[in-house]
Amino acid sequence: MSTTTAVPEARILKPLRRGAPRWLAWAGYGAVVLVVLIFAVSSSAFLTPGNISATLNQAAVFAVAGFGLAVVIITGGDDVVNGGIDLSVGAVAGLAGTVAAVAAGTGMQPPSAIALALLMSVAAGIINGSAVAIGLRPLLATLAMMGIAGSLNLVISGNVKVPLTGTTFEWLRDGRVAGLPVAVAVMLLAFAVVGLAMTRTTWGIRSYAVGQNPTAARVAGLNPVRYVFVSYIISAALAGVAGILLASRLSSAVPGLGDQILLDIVLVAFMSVVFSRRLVVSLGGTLVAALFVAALTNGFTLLGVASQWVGAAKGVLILVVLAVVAVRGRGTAR
Amino acid sequence: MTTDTQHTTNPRDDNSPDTSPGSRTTPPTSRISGEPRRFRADVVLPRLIAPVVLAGILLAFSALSPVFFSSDNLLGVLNQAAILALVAIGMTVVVRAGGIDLSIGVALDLAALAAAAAIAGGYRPWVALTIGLAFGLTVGLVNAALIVLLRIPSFMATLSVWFIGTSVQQLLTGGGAPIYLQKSQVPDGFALWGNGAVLGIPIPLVFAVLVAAVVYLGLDRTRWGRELTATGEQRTASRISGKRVSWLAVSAYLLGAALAALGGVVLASRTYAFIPASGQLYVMDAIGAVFIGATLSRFGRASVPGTLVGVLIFALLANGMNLIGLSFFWQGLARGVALLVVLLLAILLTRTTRVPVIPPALRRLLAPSTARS
Amino acid sequence: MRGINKSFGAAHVLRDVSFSIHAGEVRGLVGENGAGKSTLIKILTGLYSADAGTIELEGEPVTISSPADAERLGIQVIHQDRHLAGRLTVAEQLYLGRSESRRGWVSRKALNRRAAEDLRRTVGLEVPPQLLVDELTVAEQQLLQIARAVLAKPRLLVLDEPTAPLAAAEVAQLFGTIQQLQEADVPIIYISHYLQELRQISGRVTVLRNGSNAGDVDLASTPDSPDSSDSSDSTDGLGKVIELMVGAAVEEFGPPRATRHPDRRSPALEVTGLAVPGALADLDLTVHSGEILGVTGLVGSGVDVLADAVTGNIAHAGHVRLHGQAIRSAHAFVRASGAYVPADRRKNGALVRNTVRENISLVTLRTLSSRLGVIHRRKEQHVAETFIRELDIRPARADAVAGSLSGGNQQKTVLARWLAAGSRFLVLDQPTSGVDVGSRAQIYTQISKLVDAGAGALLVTVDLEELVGLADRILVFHRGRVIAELSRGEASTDRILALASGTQQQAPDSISEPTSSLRTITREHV
Repeated sequence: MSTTTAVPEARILKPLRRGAPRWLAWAGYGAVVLVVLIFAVSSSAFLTPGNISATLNQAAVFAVAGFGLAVVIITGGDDVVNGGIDLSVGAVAGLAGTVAAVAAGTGMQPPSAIALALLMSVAAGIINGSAVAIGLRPLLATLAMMGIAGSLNLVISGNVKVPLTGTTFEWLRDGRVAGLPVAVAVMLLAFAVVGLAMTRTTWGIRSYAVGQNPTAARVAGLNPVRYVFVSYIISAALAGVAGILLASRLSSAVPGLGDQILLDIVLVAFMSVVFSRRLVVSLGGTLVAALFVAALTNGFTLLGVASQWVGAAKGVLILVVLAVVAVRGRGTAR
Repeated sequence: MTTDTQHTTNPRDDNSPDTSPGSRTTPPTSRISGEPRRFRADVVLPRLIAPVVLAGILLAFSALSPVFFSSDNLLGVLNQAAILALVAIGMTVVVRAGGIDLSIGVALDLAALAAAAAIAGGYRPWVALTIGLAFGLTVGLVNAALIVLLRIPSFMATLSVWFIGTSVQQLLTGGGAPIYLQKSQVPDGFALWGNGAVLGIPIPLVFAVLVAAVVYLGLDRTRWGRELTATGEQRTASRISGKRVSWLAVSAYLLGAALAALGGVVLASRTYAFIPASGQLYVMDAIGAVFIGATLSRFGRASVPGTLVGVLIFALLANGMNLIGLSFFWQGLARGVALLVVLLLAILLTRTTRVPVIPPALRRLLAPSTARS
Repeated sequence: MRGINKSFGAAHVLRDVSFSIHAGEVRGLVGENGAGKSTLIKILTGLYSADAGTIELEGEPVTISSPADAERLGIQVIHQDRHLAGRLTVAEQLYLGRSESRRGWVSRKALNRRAAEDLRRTVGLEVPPQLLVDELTVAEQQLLQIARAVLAKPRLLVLDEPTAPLAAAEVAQLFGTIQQLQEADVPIIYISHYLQELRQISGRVTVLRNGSNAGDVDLASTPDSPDSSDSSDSTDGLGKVIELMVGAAVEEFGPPRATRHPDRRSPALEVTGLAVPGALADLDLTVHSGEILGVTGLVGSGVDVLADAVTGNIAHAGHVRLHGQAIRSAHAFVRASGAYVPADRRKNGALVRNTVRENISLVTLRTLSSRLGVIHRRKEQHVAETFIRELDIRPARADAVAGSLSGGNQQKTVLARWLAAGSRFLVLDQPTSGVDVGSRAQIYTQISKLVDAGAGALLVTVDLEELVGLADRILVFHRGRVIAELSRGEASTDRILALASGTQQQAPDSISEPTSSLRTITREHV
């Protein structure tokens, strides 16, 4: 039969077209191992338990907020100008820290203060999500929210550092859960919950589909807006958690910090692409990227490199990552 | 089928190519253009929002503050807005070319740094200007290389350049120390750019108006502008039509950086100083202004006049709030709200006034996907 | 199933259109672009809602206000554009929105196993289900979509131009699947521009014209010649369909012409050693001035990248020369007086957010602007109006937005762009896919005119009637190589089909009797 012969023949060409150069898939992990090795060799302090614990602590803030941003990018699509992006994560994190600190300062119980801060974050997420659901570009909607949250932060704090006191916050800073610093435990918990949700539940798979091709999702009977809306709430909520972790670690809420951590969060979320076979933003990749960036910052500090070089290094790092992605993309896209 | 349906076919509705008729019953028409267009509320109203908001801000602050609507104050506002206008016009070019430039603040900063350092080193004003522009253009060149050669998405590439440029700034200033110029030692030729006036019009404003006029004509009346727009919207289609898409993109990033650099030199001149990271303040406002301005176009296309409306909204808002005694803490809030209000209204008006062929709930579903295509 | 009845008053896109279909019937739905087919289907699937009219499914009146409603009612649609999420795995896409999991928890292993089995059973597609959708060929993606629809156990299946991306063998598979569904009493609405296909699979054809019913034609009653796919002449039934579609008989392949005598001594396009990894291997070809070289092949034969490669739009090995100039970029191709009409019209052809005027002048801007680059508006307007008239682009307004035009008029606008530039060589990639019959004839006329005046043309197409009707010489590709060259006299659609599928003898059978071959496949694999 003609068809039985024709179809397998057509298939012979396939392997040439499919897949990226295999070495590239491992290049991301290779770079991580290499950098860690270099630091371990050059500084004896790098692999000490205390330093590892400090590094993990640093990573926690970026990772937790990064998970949220990753969810937004997954659900909104990774075309930055029109796709999913949440530029307000940094400002919302900063705002959450300040709200918690100010509330605790007025004598509110720490758990209530934290709840209030998270509520505030979720409110920001609802505004973001609604604006995007109505049809605003995420870049612009969250840009506006970034301005609003940053401004509120100034108003509430009066543009001064607000000390964060209370046993709960001290526990968040110094406490341990199952031998891990609390912040790290929170990070792992968030990773487990959000990560499993995105890869092992229908909701997660559908979110990926919505981000890939909203029309396809719609034709499949899904309501893309619902998934997109929820993604911004998740992002804002996780940003709030990250903000509280950060304020606890610094024992105070520092106005203006939100703008600084935004870039790191964006870096971490987009870098996750390198650690994914599908070349998409992923939760696992975000975690690895957060650890990597924290290790890099920490390692540079140990080696006595001036802080301004760290920023430059991050910039170069993200470029390397993107160049790898670009090369890999050329392998698959046809 | 009547010709009316052809007119009412909404050009923005990419989902319905087939609903527009290649009607065979229409008699061969001899008139090719000049048929009257019907008033379309959903096309016209959203484009009026930004101007209406601008007018509203003018009216509101005029009522709240007696000083606001004086020619002195308004001229001052325009003068203040001039640098943002330069940066935002640069951003307009980049957005028109289908990209975005987050590093535009770095271009501004490095230009201001170079110019201030040159003056501090005793060089002549034109040398300072040249060095400033050269530093800015370097940023543009790096962007162009990353985006065109390495094909990195513009958002990510310019974000990286932002990181790197900020570090470079700190390295060049020994960890981020500001450079203050002694007013007495600054040559008049340099101080003039930020503080002088021609016929009572501040020179920064003159710069902004000239640049706006030239870039407007360039984008909307020349071959370069036409090709740049086509490339920004449909890159492959432009390439197939023989356009040098890479060079067009390079020209956009260079022009964007050059305009930001000009803004930086003016800023250094105006403040007699270089203060690190001051450029970053302009980036978000510039993006906001460009996209507020884009609501003036039926295709959501960035344009110079639109961008200027956006710049004025931000500038008047800031000035008015100052005058009524609100602290600068509130400014980000006001700007964010203004941005949200204009853009959301533009979208909502496009929807609600449209002939209800598609139910509102479904239109909401359609919106994100059509916006992306 | 009793029938679907719809009518419209206000929108004028559809005026009192009625449509009904019985269980187990395959009903063709045809009409020119803009006749309202797609709108009708979009209403049926909840993408649009009707202003007036009723829909009944199996005798029950239903309201469909969203795609989710349609899905719930068991209405499955294969849309013309493939709506797939590229970075999902095949398995995930196959069950998206339906039964990915039990209680929201997904087991990938089970999902993949189920997907492999379902794909094989429904459409005979064998791909690893953990592949990404992006990694499939276009044809495989289409089959995946069809499998998805079939798995839903539809109460009504709508296929909108399902065969456009498919090669002959895959079309045969599809027809087999349709036959199986038909036997299971599923009503199927089949929309196609390929009228010959309709004869093979459908009994009755409903024709829409300008948003109204133009009439139904019973194809079954007209005698079916045994080799129905070989001639471009329409038999009575199809002739009537075309008549109803356009309101008058149409000369499909341009004015009759004398055999051309291309100038063999003046090669226009010379290709030597052209290779594209995974698609084309070591290709040599020459197109002379004054001839149309037709090229065809199955999906995966390499012809889909040929146009991009010779026009300098994708990287390749080997040399391409046009009019003696080396072509290393798209820019060089255009400079050498080349014109390229790409396959993906909305993305790569027309500038959809620009006016017709801006579209037509795009290549010609240099001559339409001053030395400083300022565009002369009046000259530009004049050029646009000239070509709007020449090609009968509707609506005949230079300031109409290209994206709002029908497919045929968009394609004419793209062609006008190159005519305005005075191009002397045409590369046409599927120039009439999704183009209505009327515009098609105009496009053919323009191409013939240009070639008769001495231009060369490379026509890449899967439309075999178009190929045989237009080309002076035909190359058939198979697995990245040219396997046959046919002159105008020796080319026929079934011969080409046989060559393209790589089995010279049996292919015509498999096309005219698709069901038997597919059954063989499915039986072998199940």
